[in-house]
Amino acid sequence: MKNSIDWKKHWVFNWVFFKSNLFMGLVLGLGFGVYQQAIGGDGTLLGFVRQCLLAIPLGFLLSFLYKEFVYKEGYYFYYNQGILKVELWIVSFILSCFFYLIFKLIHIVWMIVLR
Amino acid sequence: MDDCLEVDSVVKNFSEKTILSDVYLCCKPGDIIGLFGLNGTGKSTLLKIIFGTLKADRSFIRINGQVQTRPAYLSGLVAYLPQHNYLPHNLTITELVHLYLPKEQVNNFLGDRFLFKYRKSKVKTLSGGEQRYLEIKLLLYHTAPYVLLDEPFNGLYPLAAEAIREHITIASQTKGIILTDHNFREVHKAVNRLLLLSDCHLREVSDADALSAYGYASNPR
Repeated sequence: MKNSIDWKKHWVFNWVFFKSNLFMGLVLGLGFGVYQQAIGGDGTLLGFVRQCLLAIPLGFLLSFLYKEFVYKEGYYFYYNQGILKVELWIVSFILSCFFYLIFKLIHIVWMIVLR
Repeated sequence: MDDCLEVDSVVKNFSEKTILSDVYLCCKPGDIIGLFGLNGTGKSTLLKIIFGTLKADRSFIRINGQVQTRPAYLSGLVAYLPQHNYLPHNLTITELVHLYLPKEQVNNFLGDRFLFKYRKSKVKTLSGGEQRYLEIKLLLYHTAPYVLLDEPFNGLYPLAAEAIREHITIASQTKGIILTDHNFREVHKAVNRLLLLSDCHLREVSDADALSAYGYASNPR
């Protein structure tokens, strides 16, 4: 029986899972940004980026719901490697927060430079 | 201590209906067990309980002498093929194989006549049957000593089914395999033990003709 966790393998599979959620998050983020600008945004690129960032967590949630209710078999790809569903979602959440902070930092620096 | 997958005292109810009652099963490396039963008798339920993605009302699972107190899939000793396709669509076959198998096995795996021409294609471009073939072969090459296949022959055309039977036979030299399928004519050519799930109980059947006595088929062959 495997008594030690293969952390490298876990990281690789968690990264694969995270990437599988990126598409919906980014598409929804961009769509939301465009929509917000269209209905009364400030018309600036900075405003557009700010709206996109707000919607990415929503895209993430929709991706989660899709996998839960439509594509549950997809988890077996990870179960067969001894990886729990809750681990996949916690790591994906942490990674999405990390990238959100990176983009937010870029956004802040951009605003400072423009002033 | 014998190497075996031992499942004992499995009880599973759905609402008021009992699906599995005191089911016992033992699978050793070299066993290729065909698990048969009418629709709704609990074949997939039993496999999922063994794998650990479904909780039984009562169960005892021991693999190679180790009692499983957590879902068995966490031990890496058992792999499961679900009924529907499960591979990530955005990866290529080569990327998938590199994820699942040790480097030294990759070329041999991809040299397969059914997979070679698609090795750079993404999973989403494959047909259902092509995905199925890939999924089964990945699990038979998996390091887990016990493999559970839920309706593996669904969507496979005859040549692919024959190839899968060969892979099962080769894999069974070191693994114990349990498979369920309604395509009896394909399955019985591959298996060396027959189990029938009927009236909530699991019983070993001596040969295909005995299945008729339990109402599974009028003429199994």
